[in-house]
Amino acid sequence: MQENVSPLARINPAIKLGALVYVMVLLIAAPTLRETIALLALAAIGLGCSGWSLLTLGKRVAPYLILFLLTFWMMAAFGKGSTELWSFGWFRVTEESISHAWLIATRMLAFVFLSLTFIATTDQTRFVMSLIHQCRLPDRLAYGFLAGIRFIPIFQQEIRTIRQARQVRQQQSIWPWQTFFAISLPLFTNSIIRSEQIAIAMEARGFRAERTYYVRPVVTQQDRLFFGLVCFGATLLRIVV
Amino acid sequence: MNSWKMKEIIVMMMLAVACGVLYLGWSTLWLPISAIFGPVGSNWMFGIWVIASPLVAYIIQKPGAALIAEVVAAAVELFTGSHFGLSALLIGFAQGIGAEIAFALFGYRKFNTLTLILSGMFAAIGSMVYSLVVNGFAYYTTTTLLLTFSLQLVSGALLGGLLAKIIVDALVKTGTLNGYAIGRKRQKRDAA
Repeated sequence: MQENVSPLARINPAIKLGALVYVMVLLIAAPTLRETIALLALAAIGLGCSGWSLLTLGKRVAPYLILFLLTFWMMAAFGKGSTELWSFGWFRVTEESISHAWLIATRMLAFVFLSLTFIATTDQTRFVMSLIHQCRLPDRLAYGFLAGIRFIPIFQQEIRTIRQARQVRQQQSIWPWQTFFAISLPLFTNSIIRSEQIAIAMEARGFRAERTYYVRPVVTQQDRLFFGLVCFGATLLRIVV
Repeated sequence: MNSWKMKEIIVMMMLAVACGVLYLGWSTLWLPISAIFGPVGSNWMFGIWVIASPLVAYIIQKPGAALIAEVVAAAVELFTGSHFGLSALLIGFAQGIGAEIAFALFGYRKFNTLTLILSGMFAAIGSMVYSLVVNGFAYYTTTTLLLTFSLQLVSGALLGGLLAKIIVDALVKTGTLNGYAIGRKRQKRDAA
């Protein structure tokens, strides 16, 4: 997750998150497909302003189309309804379940667009910094979190290594929770040892609660304007459509 | 927050992030299963997604640990661009609140198999409330809905609470947790 040069990237991350969550709440409260599609269009505009090229956009959105189909299918085949259209085995597709499926799948897609908009235009560190200053997140938690997310790729690599080691030794289990246990135990042990080292290193370098900041994220006029515009626009869409 | 030691905060964050990374792998496993077997056939897997709360709360044994751990694990899914994105953050919050209530009910004094299993189940309840409101679970047929919910409860209890207990007990044996609440208790018991 890294910010780019788009106008959305300049918005204060905490404010941006607030505005996007407000749109999500409106989406949850939208009872019909028409309103959901209107808000989806708004989310799509946001994604369009995210500064990603069309090619990147296509690549990032494509996997979600599968998820869209999946969500649609889950609701269509397992939803309730009386006018049966098609049934096979334990699947039962009805007129009502299809219309509900459209609603839920569209809502899900709008969530995805909003998430991608946020991810595309927000730098992790700036996001956490603005949580400290705008949302009063305790700084010890915030810095702990920053230290933690640096380890995401390392943990992913570690899981791959453990899996390969298990493969070499032909340790396969048909029970997924057994595999989970076998992978998580070494992963957790390593991460506990590492956290101890990180905590010592942070305290040795004088990390404490009362601190000063070189860069202090502020809420500018532009941020207020953005927040107001998004909330106003989304509410208007919700009422008018 | 002031009563927390720095190493407790970091270990909570690191374990929560590790759980978040494990959730990602679990999601890839879940997607195809859910398409074929539907909500009933796939929700036995649910419990793993709430394991961060009982796991971290059992190690740190302080108020707030369960909630923060689950939200952080969900944030990892957001940062890595998983398909749950921002909604993972919301559902993580719902699950974390549920898990936290289980420990709060006992005044944060009891951290045993019972409270861990309860926290897994309460996290399942939090998740259900979210799914009903947001994911349109209310539109499922009543049988599907009831089966899904009871499966989530059982899975939250076993794959969430009980598995967390088993994993942490195994971790305690390695000796890496000696500096934390769970390890100290064990040492006191051994000395007595």
